[in-house]
Amino acid sequence: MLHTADPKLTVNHVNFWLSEIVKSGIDFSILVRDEKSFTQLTKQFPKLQICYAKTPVDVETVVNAQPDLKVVLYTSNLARNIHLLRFNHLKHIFIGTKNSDWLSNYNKSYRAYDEFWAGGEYAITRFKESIKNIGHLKLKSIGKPQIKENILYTAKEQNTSLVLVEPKNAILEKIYFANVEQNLKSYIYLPEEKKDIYQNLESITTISGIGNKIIPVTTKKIVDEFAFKVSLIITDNKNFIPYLLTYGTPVLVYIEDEEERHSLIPDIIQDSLYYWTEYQELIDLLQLLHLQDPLKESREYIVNILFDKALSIHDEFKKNLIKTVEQL
Amino acid sequence: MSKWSKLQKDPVLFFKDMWKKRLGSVDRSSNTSTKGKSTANYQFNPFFKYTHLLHTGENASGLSHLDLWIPHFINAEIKFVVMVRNNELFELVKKKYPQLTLLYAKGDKEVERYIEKMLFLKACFYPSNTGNNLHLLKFNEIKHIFIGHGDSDKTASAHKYFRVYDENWVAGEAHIDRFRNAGFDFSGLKQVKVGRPNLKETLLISQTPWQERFNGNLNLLYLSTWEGVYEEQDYTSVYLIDKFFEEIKDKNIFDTIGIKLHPWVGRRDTKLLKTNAKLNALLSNSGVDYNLYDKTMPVEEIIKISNVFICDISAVISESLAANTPIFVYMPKEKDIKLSQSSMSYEDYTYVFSSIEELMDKIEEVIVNGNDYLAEKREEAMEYILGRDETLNDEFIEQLKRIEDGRC
Repeated sequence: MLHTADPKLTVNHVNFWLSEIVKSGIDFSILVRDEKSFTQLTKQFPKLQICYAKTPVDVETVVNAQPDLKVVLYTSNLARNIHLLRFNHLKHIFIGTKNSDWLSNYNKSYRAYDEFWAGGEYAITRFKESIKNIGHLKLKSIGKPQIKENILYTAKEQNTSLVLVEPKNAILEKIYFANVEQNLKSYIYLPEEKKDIYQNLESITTISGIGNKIIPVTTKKIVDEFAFKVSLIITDNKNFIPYLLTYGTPVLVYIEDEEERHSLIPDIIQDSLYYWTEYQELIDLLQLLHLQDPLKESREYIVNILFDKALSIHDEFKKNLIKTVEQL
Repeated sequence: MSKWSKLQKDPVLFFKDMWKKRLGSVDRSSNTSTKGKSTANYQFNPFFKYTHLLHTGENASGLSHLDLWIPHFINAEIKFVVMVRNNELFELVKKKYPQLTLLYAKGDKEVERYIEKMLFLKACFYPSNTGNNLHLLKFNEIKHIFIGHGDSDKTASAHKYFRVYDENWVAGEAHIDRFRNAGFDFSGLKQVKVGRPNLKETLLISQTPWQERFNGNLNLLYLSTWEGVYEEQDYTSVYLIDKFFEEIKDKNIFDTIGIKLHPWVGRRDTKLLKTNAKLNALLSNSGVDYNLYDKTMPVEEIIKISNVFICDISAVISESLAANTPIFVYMPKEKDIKLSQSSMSYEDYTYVFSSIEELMDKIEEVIVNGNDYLAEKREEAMEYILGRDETLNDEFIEQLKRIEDGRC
């Protein structure tokens, strides 16, 4: 059973883990704790067994209705998890969310679980530093199965960039001119609501005859496809960075000042990124990267610490899940 | 007056205003309502070195849990504060214990604000497992100790969630055995035997044989449990007990009859809310000397004046055990009862029954014929379940002081 209790993020959590659990071939259900998410998920996945339980008694009913239930996977550590954690016959495993390995404040309440599965050594070390006596709790690195393809895809298209920035404060303009000047083929992500910027960009590239070089895109799905093949990524979105690093290409981060650089989370990524603020700094970086990539090793090291590349590639999550269920 | 001139001219007023601003008004009046507020405090002074915090995440019904422990925290002469999460309970505790320092924190942010003010806090004590305990458990530098609110073989007594605590303070070896028999690894949880401080007086009374107490009178006490949060924890005899009183009222076996229902009877099954009225109607014109105790009446007080007990599976069995008298325990047969077993079962030291006929037969044998055949086993259970020695030696208070002194 996949249990997710955060009303605002339930759908995101399910979407993050669902395909990985499906790949394991194990019969599973999903238990959510708010009605709105339940409605949304049942619409999105009409063939899945999805349950909604509001109260402790509802949870008991759900558990009693599933006599073959063996394992519960938890995405977030919330107060209402207690309603399930009291069942001694079930194995309770915390698997976290997309960013929980570096955003969570680990505390003693995690000891209620039987096992804690993390992407890599980074979360395990943080956990041990936060909680001195972990007792019975088994800490396991299992990689992040969601990044497997990012790591495996190595055929990069030379002199291409993917641009993921919030179009404000003239950042986008700086990137546009730098890409043109350096003759890069550039995919610029502009969400639907930025239609006017999209039209401006399309019009100028057509007039200038560089429509095949600067390509605005509006859907997230296409962005994922481009991320695999571009030779560098330019961004100002600090939340995406750990996952952007898994594509194996240089990541050029826009920062307003030095302080912003030191506030990046998780802190270990700070030395594996290229930073720029002014137009000329971006030009200098693009020229440098045309010749060499001095942070390549550092990037690989960080990705390994955060996500454990080998375990991610070799389906450790799936293997562990199957093994756990078989052993019970 | 500016802040600077206020500090120079009237430093007391300066600091008073500063803390008022930072913590909300310091409420010393028992008449001020907290309705609608998310935080309040009573006699809280952040310049005191509070070392212990007693927390209950329950609603107003949590008062009975606090009643169990507050007197012993006071006896230990430690600097402690009580934190509640319900404004009605805040008012009740304030009224009942006006000498205490009391905090009301509704959500996690309010909890955080208070904890950060208590720089010398060493341990938090939890009488029950509620979801909002999590708001305190996130403070890794504080020791988290579960102290419970009784001792029973209910499944709620030993489950995996207990592992979030650093220590589990139990009455006797029985509770540790419940964990050992529950089939999960709890190696990080330190088990500490502290006895049952609230039963010390009863244990002292129990040194006189039960037949010789109260001038040879037989005082029966019926203590029910409630129907439980979960179906699997529904052990109550309330559904059938009126038949027993119907049978017993003309038999003249007992000199007095006391009845105390669990305060939560009827919480899940509202039909049971009428039980007291039903029993009152049954006994009122029968000539029986009976007393229907109010839900707020502390169980340990009425146990002291009784020498025969009828109980459901709940912590009251161990409370009654302290009196060392015959205990008749209802064990529903038609239900698949899930218990977290210790190494002594109820059958070993109590007279178990599943029907009113069986109860009447056992009362005839044990009480009327005077064959208390489980007396020896009961003595054994008193040590094993209640931690008689620890109770008589004030081990709970000793352990509170250990925390204060920083001894491990």
